[in-house]
Amino acid sequence: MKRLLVLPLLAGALALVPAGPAGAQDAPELVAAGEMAPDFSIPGATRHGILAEPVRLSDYRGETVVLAFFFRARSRG
Amino acid sequence: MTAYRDQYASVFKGGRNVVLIAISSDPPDALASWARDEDFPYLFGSDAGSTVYASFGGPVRDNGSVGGRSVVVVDPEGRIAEVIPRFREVDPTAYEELAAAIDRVTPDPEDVGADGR
Repeated sequence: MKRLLVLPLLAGALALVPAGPAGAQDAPELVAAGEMAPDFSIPGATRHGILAEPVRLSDYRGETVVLAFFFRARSRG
Repeated sequence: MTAYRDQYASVFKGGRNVVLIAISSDPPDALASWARDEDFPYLFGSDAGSTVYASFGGPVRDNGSVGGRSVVVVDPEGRIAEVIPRFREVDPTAYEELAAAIDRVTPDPEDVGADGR
């Protein structure tokens, strides 16, 4: 009798648990290889200070550009 | 980011024909001071509101910061060559994959032999 009560309770408890990892843990779906990279123009900086001109992706045609996105300065991310 | 500095000469060819741009939503002065303190040899981009990251399809957090540690390799023609949605900065094999992607699309610098010819 006790087993008959436990099973529905257990099923109910499991239904409250998220089916998978939180959305933030899923790999983001970025643009695909082969597409043209969207151009951008943003303020830039180096170890020598803030740049006078913005950093523009199209300025670097002819070179390989590696864009490394990260969470926040002075953190592991 | 310190790992990128440590790998700069090898994976990123010391900046020869390869431009590394580290992008976050931090303001320019915060990036500049961090780069100075850590002697990072590469460029930083201040992506307010993470609009650039969003243009590449990346998620943006509620506070406007970049939602993923992603790496995108753009070839010399401006075409996306490689996308790594979650770059594993502490995994050595991740740099091997990245280096291979960079080598695939980067023109070789002029080859000069030991005898100068």
